[in-house]
Amino acid sequence: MNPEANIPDDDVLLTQITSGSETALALLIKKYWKDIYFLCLTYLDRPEIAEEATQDVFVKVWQVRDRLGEMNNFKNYLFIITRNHVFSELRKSLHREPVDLKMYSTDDPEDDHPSPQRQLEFKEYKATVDRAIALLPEKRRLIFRLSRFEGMSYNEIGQKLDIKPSTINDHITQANNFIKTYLRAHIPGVIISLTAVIICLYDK
Amino acid sequence: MSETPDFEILLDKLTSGQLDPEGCRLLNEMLDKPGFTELVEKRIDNDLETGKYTPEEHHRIHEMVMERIMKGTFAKIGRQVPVSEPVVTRVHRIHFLRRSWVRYAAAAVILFAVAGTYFLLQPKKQELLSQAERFKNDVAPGKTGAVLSIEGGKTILLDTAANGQVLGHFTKGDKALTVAGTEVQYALLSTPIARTEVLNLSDGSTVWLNAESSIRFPTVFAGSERVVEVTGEVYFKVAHNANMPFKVKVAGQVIEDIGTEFNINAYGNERVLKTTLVEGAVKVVANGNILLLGPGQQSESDQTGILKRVAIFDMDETLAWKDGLFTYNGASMEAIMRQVARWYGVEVVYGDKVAGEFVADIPREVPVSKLLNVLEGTGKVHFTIEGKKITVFK
Repeated sequence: MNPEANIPDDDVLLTQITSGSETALALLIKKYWKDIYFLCLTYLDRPEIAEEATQDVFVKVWQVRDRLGEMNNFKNYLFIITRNHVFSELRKSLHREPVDLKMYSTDDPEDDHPSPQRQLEFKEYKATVDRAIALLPEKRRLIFRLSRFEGMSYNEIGQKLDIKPSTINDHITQANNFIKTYLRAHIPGVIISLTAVIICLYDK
Repeated sequence: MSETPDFEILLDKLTSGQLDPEGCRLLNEMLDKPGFTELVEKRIDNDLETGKYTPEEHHRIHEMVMERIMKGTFAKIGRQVPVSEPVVTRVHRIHFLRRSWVRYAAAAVILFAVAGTYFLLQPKKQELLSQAERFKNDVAPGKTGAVLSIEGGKTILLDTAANGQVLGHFTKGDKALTVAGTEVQYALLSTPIARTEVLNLSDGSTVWLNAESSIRFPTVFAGSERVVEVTGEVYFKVAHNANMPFKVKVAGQVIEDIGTEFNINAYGNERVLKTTLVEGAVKVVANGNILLLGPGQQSESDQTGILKRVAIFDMDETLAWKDGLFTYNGASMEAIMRQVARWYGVEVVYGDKVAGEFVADIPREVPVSKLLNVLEGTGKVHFTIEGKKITVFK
């Protein structure tokens, strides 16, 4: 199933958006949301933040639609808006606690006596993360496991699997993005509170 | 600048989620310095252009994210999300941290789901007869219970048998049937429509049977292999025994287990036979083809007997039945209604063809009217119930 299959070309979409077509905006979103969302997620770490940022990109396009005129490269324009948005959000996110996926998959962490409620939630999160990991493509899953569970460096993994370390990096990023997105899809609204839970459970 | 290589490394760590708090602080500082802004922007531009973080595969969770983005964007500009083809209908997924709560609060769950948000479409108000007129009666969900028979011996209905010893080698409990034989005798456990059952085999393995399924098994395993035969949908949790491999025969295939948990869906009226591995490893043999499955993998074979590994599927949807749920992540109305027919023991007839993909999480222990209500809440389908017949309309 390829959802981008029947969407008109950018110049058609641009013309229609300029004349205020909401359908064209919806099609634009369908066409480019993945590129924008996953880039935002990579740089901004939190899925809900990445979703908001993605929305804001499309909102911006709509808001200035009168001034769009005819441009040669609409896609480029979208990406510039995205880049600017990510850059300004990046400063904020650097101040935030990152989402550490390793912690979701460790067995029996040292704890400060979390409540039974928290323990149960943690079990649920762990099970969800494990399911997400199981859904990764084979090679990616292997790389993720070697890095996160066996603590191998990218160079070591690269040597073992005969892959460039930069490619390893990309696989890890894609794996993280998928797991974060999967977690948010299955346990909505919980990432932030979970990070707080993790901080309680772990002594950094 | 001598700091540039470190800067790139910091960015690498940022993008792969390995930047520690100290690194965050450093990176933040660097962003204040002239020249670095351009470096970051250039890197982001490059990432966007090459699409290096955009996943090639399309997973169903992507649909959910897209819809949230769609809805959020249109909300922010104060407009309604336009209707578009292909029709996609969503019932908001409710996830509960504790499944047991779901069972107690079934009615509340369904109401909440109906009151939840529509992601892509605003349903058109339809002129419908009232529910009292459309649903002439209700149908209760299946209960645990099954038919057990010994080959060449007696047959009993497990519902009517009391707890305790039955048919010699079996012990019937509240939750499961356990077998512990001393001599090899073959038995058949089958579930009719609207029944599930749990069976503990003599080797310590556990088997869950969905409705309209069966397992043929020996009361005790002897010889070099443990072999059982199944039909329908069955979930296995196999006790490890390296000296006696566990094999399942189903529809002309053999699934050999290597100490694991897996689900087999072999209903005759489904298009394909699916084996899904949860943990461990299994070897699927069909028509001389062999496929090894790892955790989280699924194999499919169709009527021509061709065996292949499925790239993407939804584990939740596949295993929901065992948890007492109906879970759909983009299922067609036909697929949903096939399950409904099996679980409630009803006949399903189509007044109209209903297009679209449905997403829902509904506990199984609810009367069929509640389940149909949830689906009707999408505005894309409605039903009538008369006796044991459910008719589907647009």
